[in-house]
Amino acid sequence: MNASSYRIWLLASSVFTLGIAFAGGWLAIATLNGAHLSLNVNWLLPLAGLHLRIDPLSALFDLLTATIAVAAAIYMIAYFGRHVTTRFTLALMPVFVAAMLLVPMAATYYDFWFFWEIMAVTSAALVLTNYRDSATRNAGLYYIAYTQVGFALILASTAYLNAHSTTGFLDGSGSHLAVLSNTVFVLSLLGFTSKAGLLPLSSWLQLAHPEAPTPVSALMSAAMVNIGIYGALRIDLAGPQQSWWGVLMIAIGLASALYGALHALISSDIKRLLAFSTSENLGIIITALGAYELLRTTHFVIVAEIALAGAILHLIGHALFKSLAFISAGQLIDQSSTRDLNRMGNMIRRARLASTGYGVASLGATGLPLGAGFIGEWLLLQALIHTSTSAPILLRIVMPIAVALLALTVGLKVAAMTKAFGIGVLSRQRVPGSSETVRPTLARVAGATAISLLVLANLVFATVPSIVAPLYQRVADYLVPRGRPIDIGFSIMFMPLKGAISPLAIFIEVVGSAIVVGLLVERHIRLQGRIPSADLWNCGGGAPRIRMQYNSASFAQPLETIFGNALRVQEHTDVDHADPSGLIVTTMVYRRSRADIIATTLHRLVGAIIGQGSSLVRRAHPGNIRLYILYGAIGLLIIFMVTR
Amino acid sequence: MSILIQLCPALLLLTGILIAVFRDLRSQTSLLRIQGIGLGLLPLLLAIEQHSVALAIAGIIELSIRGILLPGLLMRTIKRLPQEQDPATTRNTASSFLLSGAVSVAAYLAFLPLTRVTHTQLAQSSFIGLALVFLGIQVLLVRRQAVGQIIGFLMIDNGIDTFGFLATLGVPFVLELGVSLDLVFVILILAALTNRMVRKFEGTDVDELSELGDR
Repeated sequence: MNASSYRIWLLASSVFTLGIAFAGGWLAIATLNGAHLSLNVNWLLPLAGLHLRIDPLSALFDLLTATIAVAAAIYMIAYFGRHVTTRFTLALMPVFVAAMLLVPMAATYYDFWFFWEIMAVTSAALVLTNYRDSATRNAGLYYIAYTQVGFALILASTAYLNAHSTTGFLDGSGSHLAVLSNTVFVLSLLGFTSKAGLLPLSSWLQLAHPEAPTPVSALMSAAMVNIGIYGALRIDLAGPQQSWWGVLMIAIGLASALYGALHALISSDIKRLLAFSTSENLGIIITALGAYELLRTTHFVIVAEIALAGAILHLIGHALFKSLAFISAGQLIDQSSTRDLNRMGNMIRRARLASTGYGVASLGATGLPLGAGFIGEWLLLQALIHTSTSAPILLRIVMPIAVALLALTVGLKVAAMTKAFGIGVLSRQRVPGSSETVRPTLARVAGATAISLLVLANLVFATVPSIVAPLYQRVADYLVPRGRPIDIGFSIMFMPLKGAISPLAIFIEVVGSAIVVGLLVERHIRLQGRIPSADLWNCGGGAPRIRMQYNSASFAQPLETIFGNALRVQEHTDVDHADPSGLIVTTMVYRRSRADIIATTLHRLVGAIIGQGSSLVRRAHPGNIRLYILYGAIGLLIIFMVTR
Repeated sequence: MSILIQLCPALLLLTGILIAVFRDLRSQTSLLRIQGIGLGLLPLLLAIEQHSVALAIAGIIELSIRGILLPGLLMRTIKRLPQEQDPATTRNTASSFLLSGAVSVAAYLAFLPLTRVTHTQLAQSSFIGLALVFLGIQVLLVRRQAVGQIIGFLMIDNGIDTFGFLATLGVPFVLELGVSLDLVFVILILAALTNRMVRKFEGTDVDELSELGDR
């Protein structure tokens, strides 16, 4: 394929993706404005026909997907302009986006399964874009295996619901809700949380996201994982529930959040770090949903709505900052030609806009004020600490534990994000700078546009979350019809309880005080003169050398020691000697690897079960022909007994 | 005439039980021949009663293949076998009798719902087909020699045929021909395999085959 034809393909794919994203976003906004949109074509899909319908819940997820897809579609011009790929990959991008938009629109179980599987298959093919690389093949294999196991769980549970539904429609005016049994709940929750990248079926995430092309990682990590949350909301949280379901969701969520934050802390691969951060943030979202479920079943409706608001706002915040993080990380990787944080450095000078974007995204990921991730986590925390003293014993046990674990998670992720930004972007340059390759203008403009749009969206959402208030109101009204959704204005407050916050006020205070402090320092310096810097007693050394500065391993080392048991970091030092006696060392290579203990345990368990099962089957096949005939006879008898 | 027709299924069941009980291969083959003749007589007698040419042709085919050809082929194979030392079955006569009785009763019980809805007396005796199938399986299970198992296999097929005929009173002629020809080929192949087993292992005890299984 020659260059000009490739460029046409790339532009066409990008424009097409943009078009699909705009169409999806427009449909979502129309729905939020009160339109009732549905489409029924009976002949288009086999078995059940095509039935699409958007309600406020679908609209929320479609709007998020559409927003991310707009940024990703613009960014793909920059990315695929540099990393030339096949027409097949380019053609898959719009299909993937369309599938992600259609899953929440699916009105029947059949359509849901169909679009879910299209989404899974296209994303698997996109992960395998660089299939010549063995790491990519490995990641793709993991992804396909996990996604199919997840789909099998969802299929099994929702097929049961479908069999008991009179209409086959997903909400079907409550027809499926009565039969949502414990088994169905646990199976579908496992399937949906697997897609959302939560424990225990999460090992694909940290493998697949780094290996996929960056626009695909951004779409997967900011939009596709949300679809898992959509499934949990649509299927698992729709009907009457039991309180232990909420406890299970909180347990899964907090375990994933803590696990993700810990692993993000010790990852030095920038994309893997972001993937773990996805796992962690989605863990927080499912924790909030679990708290909502638990509080609702115990009739603390007002606090439950705060938890729900936390979940929805964190969902929006996460989608915004994670897409920005992946796209700006993609620019940083292109600029420094490495994914290793330890080999980046001084990116703030080499790629200003991408560094700024990455900084804004990191601030969002820390969950601190001024970041897009703050408001959702704050609301969740409010919901957790507002447990009344008259609450059942279960709540009084679960909630304080959840608060403690959430606080630990936030601490760990602040450390992880500080490391990612400090070591990767702000530190001094370690590796001699790669020559800046001249890129086509269009690519540069596209990359800058995508990042600027997302930075703007992040900052606006972080300071004035009330712009999503109509969206939140519609979704909350839909989920809790008789409830009284909390009021999100310029300051968020919940009247019957104590607690209010105004992110805009915090923003003004922080920025204002920063300006005042800056001015005072400047004035002080002007009056006193700058303090001359001089070499202290330095043992004859000069200025600190580049290798003396902190790297990502040394940054995380203290925490790594504390959590050594959970992380299982393995260190190897390979030493080559020049002489047989081993006195002269030629090379010394230090390697660090960490075992994913959840995946290892899970795989070992599954392997053991399969081994046991097959040995049982083997024992039933001793090679005696008369025994086989006996099996046949018993089978025949059973058939006769069953059919009589 | 109708009494003769009623007697045929009884003859089939009797021969089936006796085949399952007898230990000697030659007498089993003779019983199988009687059974085949009985199976052929059934459509022939019906044909005389109903003046149907198609039934008569089917009966002649049944008689010649199941009554004469197959037992003849089997007898030829048996005559070539060496005199074997070990007992030919794993069960003694008394327990075989008990087992056969139990199998017949089980077949009858399994068919109770079906026999209730049928109206003709002949169709009500169609459980005998199933009994023959189970007796055939019993022969397959207790015989240690390959030829004995061929007898069991033939009896299963006779049972299926009996059931088909009694339940519907007349299987389409072409189907009958096809099935019977298939059966002839199967028996030819099995006889050839038995001969090879005799040459290779000096016996046809299938228990020895388990040594070939990959453990």
